[in-house]
Amino acid sequence: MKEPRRIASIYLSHWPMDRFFRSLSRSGMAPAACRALRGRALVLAAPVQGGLRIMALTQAAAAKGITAGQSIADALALYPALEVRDADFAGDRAALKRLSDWCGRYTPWTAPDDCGVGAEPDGIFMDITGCTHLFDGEEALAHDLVARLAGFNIRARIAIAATPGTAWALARFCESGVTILPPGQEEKALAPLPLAALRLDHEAIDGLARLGLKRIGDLYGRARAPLAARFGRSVSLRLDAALGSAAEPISPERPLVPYRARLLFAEGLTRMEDVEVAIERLADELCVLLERYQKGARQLELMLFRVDGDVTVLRAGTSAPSRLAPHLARLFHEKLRQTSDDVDTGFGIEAMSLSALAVDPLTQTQKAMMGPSTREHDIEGLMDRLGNRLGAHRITRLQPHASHLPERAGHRMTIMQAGKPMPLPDWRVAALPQFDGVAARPLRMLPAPELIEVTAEIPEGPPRRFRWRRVLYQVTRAEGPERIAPEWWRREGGRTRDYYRVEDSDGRRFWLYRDGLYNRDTEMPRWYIQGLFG
Amino acid sequence: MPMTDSQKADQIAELRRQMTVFGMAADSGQNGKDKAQTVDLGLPRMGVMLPALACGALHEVQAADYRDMSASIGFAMALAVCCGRRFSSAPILWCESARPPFDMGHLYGPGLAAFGLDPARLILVAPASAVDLLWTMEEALRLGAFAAVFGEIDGRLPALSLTATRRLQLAAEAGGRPAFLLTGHATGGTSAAATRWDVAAAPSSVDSGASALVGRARWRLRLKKCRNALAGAGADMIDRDICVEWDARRQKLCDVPTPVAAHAQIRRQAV
Repeated sequence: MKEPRRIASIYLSHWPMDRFFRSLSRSGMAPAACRALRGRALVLAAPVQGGLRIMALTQAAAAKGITAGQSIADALALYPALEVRDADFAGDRAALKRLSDWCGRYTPWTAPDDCGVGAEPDGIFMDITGCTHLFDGEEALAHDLVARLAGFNIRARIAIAATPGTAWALARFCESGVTILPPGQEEKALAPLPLAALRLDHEAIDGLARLGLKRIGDLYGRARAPLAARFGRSVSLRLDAALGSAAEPISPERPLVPYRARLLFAEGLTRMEDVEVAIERLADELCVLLERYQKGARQLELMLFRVDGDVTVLRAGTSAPSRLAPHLARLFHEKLRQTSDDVDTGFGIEAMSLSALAVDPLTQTQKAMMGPSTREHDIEGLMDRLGNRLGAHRITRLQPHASHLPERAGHRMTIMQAGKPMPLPDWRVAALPQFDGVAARPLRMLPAPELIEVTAEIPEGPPRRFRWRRVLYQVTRAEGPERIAPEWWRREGGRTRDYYRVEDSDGRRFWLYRDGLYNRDTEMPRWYIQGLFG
Repeated sequence: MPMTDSQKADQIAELRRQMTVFGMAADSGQNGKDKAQTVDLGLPRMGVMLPALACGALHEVQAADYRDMSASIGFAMALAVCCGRRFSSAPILWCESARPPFDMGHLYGPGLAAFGLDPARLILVAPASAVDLLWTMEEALRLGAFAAVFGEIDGRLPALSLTATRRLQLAAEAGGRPAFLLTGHATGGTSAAATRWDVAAAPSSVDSGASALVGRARWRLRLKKCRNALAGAGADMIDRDICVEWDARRQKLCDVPTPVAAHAQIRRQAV
């Protein structure tokens, strides 16, 4: 049987102000100074049509008779010593998103609430269906959440109901800090609330008020058609959603993952060693889950929930699906060790979760790693760890490419995309003539051919001596030319090159070419060095 | 006539003395495991020539000069082929560096194939720092799943300390696979490596000088250091020049007479 849906709506009643002080104390302001500032008359203002207007204010400011929405000029006339700061809507929204992530410690399904009492969002939705038993029931969860937010100096109210609409309305329009509505009582609970609790726009509310409809209860049992004709369908949609007769989905901020393991700690972890042990336990739990569904993780996400309401998110990937707990745990050990300066445990980490964001099918047989496959698996594991510490693009394999232009024939692919390496016969050069065990292509290719000064005995002959990187080399042996024409079907043509393998007096071997043919391409062809033989 | 046990023991001891293995710890030759723990370089044992490299050990390859960098890389590549043959089917890990003195381009697939090394067996890693490179090598060695682990690192870097090389040596022992450090042309301080080779290019096939064609790759090798030199026969090898040639078709090293005189003669001609 499906469990009845339970939605919690968190209303942050003084969010811009709370966040303002929070960012001050984050930026290193002493707590005493912060508290003193809280006690002063301070407002946050933003430019709207008609000049600067007050967006948020402290209690001290309200006591002076200042109200939100007032213009700054009026407020200063009331109280000249008023302190005015800029409101930061973008910062508020970003912080709200972070707070919503932090709420992920209760349920994976959290989202910042786009609709606020004012123009800016001021709340969070959580779908807590089936999660409450982990926190000893809905009431305990709600009180825990409000108390924790109060610990961060964030004033919040929470309501839990069967629909997002009802929860939203109760959180904002019930004075008590925690409201829990059992299923089936939405109609009764909503009836006395003002129409603004239905998340309607101002025009609709004003229009309904002119008709004498002020409370939600006034709408019950009214004919829908005339209302829809005057105010659009939003009124009846919102009402149906709040009462639960129309579905209202919440789209969670992060992808919802069925493969997730979490741990809560009574006391915050501050030592990295403890965090690493916790990661191992999480990995064990996650692997049990993955095994049940015959899956292997491809992408993992580790979330560290800090006591002070911040979340650190680390991600790691694997090159092949895996559900080996030690392997998955090690991926994050490398990350942590590398970023241990950045991962600030602060006052401690109170909860952690490990999710598999992407999974691939992995059958039982592949997991049994006995015998010869062990080594391959070890290497895959190492590649994952290297990729996660160094960056996946730094691990490559050579891949053949069908081109007779030397610089195009050698290709690199990162190990994640290379797939199965090509066997030797696919290397075209295997067909190149090898005279008496002499390689025809250099071991190393310069990233770009470098210009050299060459003296040749005859114009079209091999070089006699050349200067490369300011050192003069005497050529004692030379073989060539090996003429390589440009790929005329490409737009960037280039010239015909005559390649020579040369050896200097001490036995160093180089791969040089003359760029262009005499009299056909150019009067004075230039020489380049492109590669070095071993 | 059947040998007595004591005669057998004597003979084995004698044979063991003759088996000359680079960088092998003196006590690891028990129970006939010698062969299992060495990489055969394919060289016939001639006089002072030493035929094999110890597996679970760190070896250093350095260039005699900046201009000999490519020669040292060539010799390392020959070692890679030998290791690849010794541990067939295992991949080879090659840690690259793009900084001087390794600013000589990147490994080139067709060139490797022509040299005799299957490019598909190489896994290339390009760590951003020397510390990351050493860490990568150590992790790979401990795994013991690679045929060999190579690292290009400037020998003058402070990161390449005695401790760092000691760690690599221990990791190589733990994994039982050889590690090679390409340290460039200016190797600095002390190192815990089992052997250190100094490589310079050598003119190819002096005897066929008239043809003036480029011959097989040749290198002048000099063993600068050999950890168990006193225990084994490596002592007489130290600081002696040997000249080897790489046969890409048969994929083996062949030794050639050290062309001191001829070498000198060609240099004179050239100047």
